[in-house]
Amino acid sequence: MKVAKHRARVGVVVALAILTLGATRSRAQEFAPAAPEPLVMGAASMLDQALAPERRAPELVILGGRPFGLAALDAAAVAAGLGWRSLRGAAGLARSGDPAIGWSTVAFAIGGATPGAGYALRVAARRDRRSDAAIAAESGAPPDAPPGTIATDLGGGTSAGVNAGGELGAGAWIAPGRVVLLWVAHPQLVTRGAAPPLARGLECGVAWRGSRVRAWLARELAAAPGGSDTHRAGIAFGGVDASAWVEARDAPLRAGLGVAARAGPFAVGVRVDAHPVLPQSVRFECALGSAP
Amino acid sequence: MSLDSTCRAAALLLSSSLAGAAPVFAQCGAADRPLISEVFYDAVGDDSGLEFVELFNAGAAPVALAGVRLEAGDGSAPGRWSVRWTGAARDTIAPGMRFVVGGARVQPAPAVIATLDLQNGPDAVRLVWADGVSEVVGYGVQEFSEYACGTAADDAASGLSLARIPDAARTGSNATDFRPATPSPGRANQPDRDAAVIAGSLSIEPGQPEPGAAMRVRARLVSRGALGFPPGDVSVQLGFQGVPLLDRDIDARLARGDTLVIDLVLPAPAAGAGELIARVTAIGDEDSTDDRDSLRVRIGAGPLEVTEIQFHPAHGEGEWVEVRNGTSEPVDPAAFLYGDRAGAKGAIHGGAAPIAPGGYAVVAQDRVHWRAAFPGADSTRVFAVSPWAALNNANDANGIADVVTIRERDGTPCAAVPYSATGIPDGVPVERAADGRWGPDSDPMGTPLAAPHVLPPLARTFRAAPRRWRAGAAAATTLEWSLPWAAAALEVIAYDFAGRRVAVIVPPEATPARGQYRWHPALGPGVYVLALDAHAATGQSLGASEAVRVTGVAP
Repeated sequence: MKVAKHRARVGVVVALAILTLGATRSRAQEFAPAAPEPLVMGAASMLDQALAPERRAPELVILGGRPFGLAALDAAAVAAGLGWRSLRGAAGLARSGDPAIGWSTVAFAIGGATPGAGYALRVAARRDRRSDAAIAAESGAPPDAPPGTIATDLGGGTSAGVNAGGELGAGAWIAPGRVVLLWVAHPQLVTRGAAPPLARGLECGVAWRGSRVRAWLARELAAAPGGSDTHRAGIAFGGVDASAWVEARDAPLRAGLGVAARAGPFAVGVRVDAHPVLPQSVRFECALGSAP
Repeated sequence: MSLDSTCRAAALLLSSSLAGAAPVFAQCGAADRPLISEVFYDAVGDDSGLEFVELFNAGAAPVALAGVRLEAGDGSAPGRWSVRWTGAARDTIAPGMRFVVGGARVQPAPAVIATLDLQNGPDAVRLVWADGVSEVVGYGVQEFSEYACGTAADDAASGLSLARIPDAARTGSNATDFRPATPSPGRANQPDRDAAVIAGSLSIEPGQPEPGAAMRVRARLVSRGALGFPPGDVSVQLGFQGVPLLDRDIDARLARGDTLVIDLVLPAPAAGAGELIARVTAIGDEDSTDDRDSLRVRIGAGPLEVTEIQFHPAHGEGEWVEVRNGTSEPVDPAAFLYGDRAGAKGAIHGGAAPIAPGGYAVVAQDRVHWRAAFPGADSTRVFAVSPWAALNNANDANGIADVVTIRERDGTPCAAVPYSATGIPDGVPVERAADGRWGPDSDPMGTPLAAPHVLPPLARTFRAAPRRWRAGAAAATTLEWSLPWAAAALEVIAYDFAGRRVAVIVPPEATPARGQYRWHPALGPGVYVLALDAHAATGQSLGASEAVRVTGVAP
């Protein structure tokens, strides 16, 4: 056990060093859980932010959502997680968006965790549901057709034929005394091929975990030069069987709320995020596995 | 001096009346002699050969003019008379006839051609008979009494003669006997029977009717003779390009001096441009020179059609009007004049003429600013107008803001398009749709030099097409919207997949209900949500969003 703890702490230090030095960009939201990270860490959070869960029991999670009320962005995913001693692993599949703009994702994560710390690496690969060539063929027009005459403009770009890409990310957390939790995550330290659907930056945060109340504060650095950092803060009430939470974000200022419930090995959660201009986003998850 | 002359004339009149004889006026001729009935001394432009003096014999017997002298007087000093013509033995005036002494260019040719070299007033002409009887016709403000019979007549404007009206008037004063009139050498100044069409009174409505459509023709007739016309003696005829359109009797009595408005509605003839002529015919009409009036008209569309009007520019481009060559032949815009409802007076120039058949051109208030606002447009098809007639932005009581007018240089109408500014969002041009109806432009900036965008009904509030493109693609994405109001203030903003605002695509501006915007995206790879936010003048608002994808390689 001492060996495992030692390995985990070394892993956290290494991960933090890598993340701090490589703070450039990160992206991917297919596996984002309904519950705010790192309120509950599991297979989804390991695939989404490379935050390895404390528990090692197997877990199966089904995720879905409709971002901004747009059916064209509907997403569904399945993720599975497993642990052995201090090692943690997760894998998942996801499909997002309609055929014209959507993509499919496969992701893997591996890491280590102890009750006081955790670290992981994540890898995700995406492929457009339709290639540029297929879209052009379906629209019946050549890629260089005049604007407005085809459903998809595929001409003139600098990435002709690139419809698949991948990313590598890492994350780590530490919980000294188990009440305070610090984490840092960079979902995309490295990207290759087709660009991800969203540029996400390095995130770091702190959480306070009481018996019935939990609160957190996180900051995500701007993903691109000239962008602005974003922040989120939340508070959750309840225990393992039932909980509710609210979370506020800035840029632009908005809020989300959610609830979760567990009955034996079954758990469900749902969250709604409001936006000052865009329609609401809805996300849900169903999990099968022992309580954390 | 004038008072002295008047007193002397009054004394003579009084003594003659007391004696029971016909009135006798000094320098005013004699009752049994022909009178000077018309003097034309100031033609428009060069007078030479156009001046004339007309004598009229109102008596019942012929009068010989042998030895009679016609003299010109210079009113600047006393006694400055010079002979211009002397009657020969063959010169005689028959009873009721006229004798014209004038230049070689007088039409009809005068009885005697002479160089009169008459001066503009204050001056005079004098007819001196062999027995010493003389008649003076003075004009202008005279300083010396010898240059007028009684009070001199008012000076006549260029192009008008001094005519004795009635022809046998003899009141003892040039001022009351003579008045300015259209020159009528050899003809009565005031015939007994003369029906005329008042020059310039002919008009049609609409100004450019379609073939076969109802057109309203108006003209004014006047009875200028000493006598009038009973009902049925007068008729009016209309013709276009030599083809008779109408011949109608006037059933009303036309008394002396009466004016009659002719108001006729008839189908417009076949398409074409030419003269519409209104002519009056009257039984016993003694003067045929004033029987007609004409108007350059066009039936149907002209060579240049007005297709788009920017009357309230909001982007510094200045006012502009798009025209289209609707013919099968090239058209040179320089052959036309541009203007507003006050008339077409602006010369069209610059640009690369001619306009090809079916081609478009723009006449702009300011070519430089227009080209800056439309950098991608073909500037060779942009023409300047001098002077530019500024177009109104607000409607008048009739619901018309202004009328874009184009005429050929000979005055023939080419196009006259009234427009209403009501309901047109600020800065948005008005455009003629394929069905001929005018309305707000589908593109807030307009579609100059291009055919109108025919926007089919949109089943959704907001749409982007295409929804997917490569980063760096040169082609534009078209954003379309369909709002439940006539017009609205609208903006479109792009948010990234995390809901963060990343770009303003369409800044807040007034737009028509159905419209589109050509957007050249500059977003990096990613998924974006385009959010449309529209507000009606009533305070209602509406939002809609569309997901789009920009593909590209990861940096």
